[in-house]
Amino acid sequence: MTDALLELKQVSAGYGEVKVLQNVSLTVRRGSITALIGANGAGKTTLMRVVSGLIPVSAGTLGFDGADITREPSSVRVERGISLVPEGRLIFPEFSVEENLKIGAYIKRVRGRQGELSKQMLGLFPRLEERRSQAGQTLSGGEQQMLAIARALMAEPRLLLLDEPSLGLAPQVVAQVFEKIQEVRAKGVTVFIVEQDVRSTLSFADYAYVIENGSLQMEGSAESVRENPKVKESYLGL
Amino acid sequence: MDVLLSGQLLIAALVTGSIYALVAVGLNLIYGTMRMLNVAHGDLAMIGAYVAFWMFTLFGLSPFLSLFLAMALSALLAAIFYQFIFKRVMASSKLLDRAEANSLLVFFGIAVILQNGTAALFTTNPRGFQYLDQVLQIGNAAITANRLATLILSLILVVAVVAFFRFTLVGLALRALIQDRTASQIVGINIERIFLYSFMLGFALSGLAGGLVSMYEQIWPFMGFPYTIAAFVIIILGGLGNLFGSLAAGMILGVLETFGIAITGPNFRSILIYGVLILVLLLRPQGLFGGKRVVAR
Ligand SMILES: Nc1ncnc2c1ncn2[C@@H]1O[C@H](COP(=O)(O)OP(=O)(O)OP(=O)(O)O)[C@@H](O)[C@H]1O
Ligand SMILES: [Mg+2]
Repeated sequence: MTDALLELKQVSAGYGEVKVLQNVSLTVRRGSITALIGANGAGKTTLMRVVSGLIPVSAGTLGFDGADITREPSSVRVERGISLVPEGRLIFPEFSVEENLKIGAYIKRVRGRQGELSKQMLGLFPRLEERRSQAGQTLSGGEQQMLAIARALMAEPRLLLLDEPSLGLAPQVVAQVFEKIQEVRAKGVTVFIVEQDVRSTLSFADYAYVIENGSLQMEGSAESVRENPKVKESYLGL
Repeated sequence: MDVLLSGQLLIAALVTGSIYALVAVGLNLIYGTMRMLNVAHGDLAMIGAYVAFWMFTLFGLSPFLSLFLAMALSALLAAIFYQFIFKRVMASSKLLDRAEANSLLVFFGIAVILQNGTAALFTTNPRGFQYLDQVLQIGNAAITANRLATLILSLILVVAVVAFFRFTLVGLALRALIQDRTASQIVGINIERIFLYSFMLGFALSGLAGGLVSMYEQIWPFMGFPYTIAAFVIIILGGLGNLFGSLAAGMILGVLETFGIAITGPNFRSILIYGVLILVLLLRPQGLFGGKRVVAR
């Protein structure tokens, strides 16, 4: 068993004719919080979508826990333990909070424990407990974000992919979300996160990659990336 | 005026309405999950009707048993069409952008083939058979036993369909897929399998409805089209992608049509139905029920 939970080798991907990712190779280590940093349109969401199987690669391979998952559909990847909290949350607008959680435990691996997991999530996010029978679309942005995270956790992932979890949230809520992410990691879940709030993210991440125009430009421990002058200038506004 | 209040019409309306509900919910299911408009939907009812007719005529098989056969055959057709045609229509992302338009053409072709194939095999002569056609008296309303059986069966089926969508995991997945395709993939739903299920279930319900209809109405190869039209009006009325809405709207259209015809005359059927469609499109394009949502892609 290697240290790598997720391994991308020379991955290229895009949307039809539009090429976005070019030769991306990266590793997410078991138990780490790994951050992906980049400007708007750099290809961060595309990378997350590639890892969760929403779009195919045009070249390269994806490995998860030693297995080649390059050609596997998203349903199989979720079953293996890869769950995405997507940009824009994408909760089910007409489902209640409870139904949103329930569908989060759709995969076979956890199906039988759906009730128990729902309870855990409502404990982890008391805010959702208060709103349990409310339709997803009537939740506030922050509540929706919590729900999207809870829904992903319902599948008991080994790798949690987070795409801009702080987007559109008030500062206190952002702090809460970041706290939850660290709690989740403490339970042994590996986290791969894309975040606009680079400063905070690099304060709790272990490792970071910087992506520009679809290619990786830099990588290193979160500390070293944070101290890098180019990162300071471009992403930390120093 | 007496006729309007006799209960006779109400029963007739409920029979029509429950059949409409069954046909329409399948159409809406396929639209909701795949964003494809099945213009051949009523023709599956025609196939189901012929299955029941031939099984009864050739083997004396009760329509209540051949209903299962009608469902199975329709579901089989659905599986074949899905595997060999629609999967390819949706295969590449380039085609996917045009999937809606392409699927419409394919379904249109399927409708033409089913109608004319049936006509070639069995002629266009209207056919019928006598089964449970004694007249029962309920209060002051008279109804043939086969219509009563249709009413009871289709109401049971409507309830079963509601329960299926509400309480089963596949039902939950179907409703999830109607709301958001990407989100469904994210939670690990095998969307291709659910596409297949909705195809099969939708077709089966239409075939089943046709089997029921054959007991009390003459059948012929082109009987499906009015059901297709009615089903389209119903899913607009009940809301695109709103399964429970189309069950309710099916009953509503059954009542409007039956009472409307009683007041105006049978020649007005199409005018009534298109009238309802136009009114709904003008006044509540999102459908009678639910919020503001007109299903997005
Ligand atoms: N569905 C799509 N079809 C075509 N091009 C797309 C599509 N989605 C994204 N792109 C393009 O791919 C590039 C990368 O987009 P992506 O969403 O991955 O960026 P991002 O790094 O997540 O940006 P942001 O920080 O704004 O979320 C952009 O140039 C974008 O225009
Ligand atoms: Mg993005």
